[in-house]
Amino acid sequence: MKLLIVEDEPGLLDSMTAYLSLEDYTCESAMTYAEALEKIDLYAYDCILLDIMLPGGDGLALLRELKTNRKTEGVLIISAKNKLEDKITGLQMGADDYLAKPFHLPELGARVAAIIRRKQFGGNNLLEYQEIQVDTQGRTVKVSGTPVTLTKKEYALLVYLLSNRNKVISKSALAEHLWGDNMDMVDNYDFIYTHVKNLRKKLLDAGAGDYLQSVYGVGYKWTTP
Amino acid sequence: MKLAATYQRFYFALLAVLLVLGCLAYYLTIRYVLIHQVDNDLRIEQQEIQDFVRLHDSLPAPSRYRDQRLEWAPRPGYRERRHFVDDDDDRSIQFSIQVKGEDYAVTISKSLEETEDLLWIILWVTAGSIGVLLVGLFLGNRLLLRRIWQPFYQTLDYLHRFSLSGPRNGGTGTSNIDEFALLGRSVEDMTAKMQRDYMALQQFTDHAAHEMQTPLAVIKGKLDLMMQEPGSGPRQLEQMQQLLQSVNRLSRLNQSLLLLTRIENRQFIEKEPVALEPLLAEKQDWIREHRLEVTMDMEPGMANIHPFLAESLVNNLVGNAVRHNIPGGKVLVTLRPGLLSIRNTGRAEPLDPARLFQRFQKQHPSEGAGLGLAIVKEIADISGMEVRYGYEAGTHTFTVTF
Repeated sequence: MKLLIVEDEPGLLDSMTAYLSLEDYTCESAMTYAEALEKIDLYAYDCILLDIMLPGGDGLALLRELKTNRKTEGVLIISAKNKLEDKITGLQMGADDYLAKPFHLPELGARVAAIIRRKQFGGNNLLEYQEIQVDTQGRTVKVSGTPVTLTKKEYALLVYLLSNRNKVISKSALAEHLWGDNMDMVDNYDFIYTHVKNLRKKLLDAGAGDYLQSVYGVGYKWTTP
Repeated sequence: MKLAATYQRFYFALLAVLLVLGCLAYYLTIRYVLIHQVDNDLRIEQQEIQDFVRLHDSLPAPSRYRDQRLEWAPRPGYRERRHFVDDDDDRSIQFSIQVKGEDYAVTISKSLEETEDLLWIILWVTAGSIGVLLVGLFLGNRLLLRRIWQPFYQTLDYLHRFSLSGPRNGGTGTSNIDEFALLGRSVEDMTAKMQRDYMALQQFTDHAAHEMQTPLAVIKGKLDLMMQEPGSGPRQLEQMQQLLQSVNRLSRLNQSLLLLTRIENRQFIEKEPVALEPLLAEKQDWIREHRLEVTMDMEPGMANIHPFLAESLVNNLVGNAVRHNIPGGKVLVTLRPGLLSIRNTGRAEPLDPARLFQRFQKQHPSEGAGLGLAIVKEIADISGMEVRYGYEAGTHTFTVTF
C-alpha cells in the first residue's frame, strides 16, 4: 500500500510517517502544495493524507485537482480543529474522511485502514486476523465461522484494535475513539476496561486466541502472544 | 430627573423669587413716586393759601372740591411749617398760619383713591406681563432644551445599545452645537476603537489557540509513537500516558477557548430547528459507563439553534452533570417542548450562581478547566435561550428554556 502524506509540519509528518510505516505502508511525503501536486501527477497512491493548511496553496485546491483528474485515491483530509467549514467542504468535494488536529496516531491508522479497505477490496470489506473475521460492511464478527454478537462499542473497539495491530494503544486514544474527544472530559478510563474485558471474554468464549493484551499503565495492544 | 427638568426647576424657582421681589420693589417705587407727586400738589396748595392770606389777611372759606378738601381751625400757639399726614385714603398737609395775629391750623387733604387705582392697574398689567413672560419662557425653554439636547440623548441611547461584539447600530447624535458634536464624535471614535481592540484581542485568542494546535498535534503524535518503542518499561509507558492526558486537557482547553471566541465573533448565528432528543439519547451509554444511573424523560422537541452549538450545549451540560456527580449518583434528563432540564446528584451544597457561569471559575477542584458552563451560557445567550441553575437537597439542576 502506498500513501502520500501532505503535511507542512515536519514534526507531525515524521510521526505520521513513522507510525504508518510500522503498518507496512509505503509512505511518501510532500511538504508544499507544489511538491504534492507533482507527486500526485506522477504516481498513484492508495490513500492521500491531506493537510488543508499548506504553504503555497490551499489543500482543498489540491483535492479539487485530484477529483477533476478522476484519480481514484482515497483522501483523508486533516485540518485544524473547529474548522467546521473545512470538514463540510472537504467531504462535499469528495474526500473520504476528515480528521481534526491534534489527533492520536492510532486514530489516523484506523481511518487510513478504513479508507483503503473501502477502496481496495471493492465492497469486500473484510478485516481478518487469524481466526477472527470482521465484515465492516455488514458489521458482523465471526470467530472460525461462528458469529459473535458484540455491542456497538465492543465492535468499534475491535475494529480499532485490528486496524492498529501490534501497537500500544493508549487509553486516551481509545476513549477519544469511542466517544469523540468532546466527551473525553472526565479522566476516568474505567469504562474502557469494562468494554475491553467484555470483548476479550466474548472472543475467548467463541474460541479465539487471547490477542488483546493489556499494557501496564498505558492501555492495550492487539498482538499474537 | 432629567437634566433639563432639573435646570428648569431651579431656573424657574429663582425667576419666581426674583420676580416677586421685583414686583414688590416696583410697587414701592411707583407708590413713592405717586405720593411724592401728591405731596408736591399739596405744597402748591399750601403756597396758594399762604399767598391768599398775605394778600387778603384772611383765610379762604373751607371747601371741598372734587378730591380735595380745605379745612382750618384756630389753634393758638400752634407752630408748624409743614407736616404730612397719612389717613386711610387721604394724604394731608398740615401747617400753621397767622391771620390777624391769630394762629390757625390749616389742613389740606387729597384723596388717594385715584392714585391707588392707578397703582393697582399698573400692578395688574405688570403681573400679567410677568405671567405671560414666565409661561412663554417655560415653553420656549422646554422646546429649546429638547431640541438642543436631542443629539445628547441620541448619543446616550447609542451608548446604551452598544455592545463590544455586536454590530454598531444607529449613530450618535449630530449637532451644530460644538460640545455635543464633539461628544458624539468622541463617543463614536471611542466605541470604534474599543471594538477594534476587542476584535484584535479576539483574533489574538483565535490565532494563539490555532497556532497551539500544531505543536499539540506534534506532541500527541510523538507520544503515540514513543509508546511503540520496544525498549520502554512500564514506568516510562505510564508517564507517557500521563503526558497524553495532559496534552489532551490542553487541547480541550484550547478548543473551548476557540469555541468561546467564535461564539462571540458571531460565527454561529444561523439558527435552524434541531432535534435535541437524539443528541441526548446518544449520551445515555456514556453516562452509564461512568457508573451513574441515568433516566431520560423526553418528548420530541425542536430547538432553534446552530446545530454545532446544540451539540456543544448538550455535551457540556451532560459532561457537567457527570463530572460533578457522586459515586453511584444519578442523572435525570427531562426534555419538553421549549425546556431542557438536566438534574444530577452532587455535593450537598448549592453552587454560587453569581460565579457559576464565569470563565475559569472552579468552585470545586475538578478535572475541567471551568469553561463548560461559560460555554453553555454563551450558547444560550447567542441562541436566545435562558439557562438557570437550581439546587435542592443534593440535587443540582440546570434548566434551559427556549
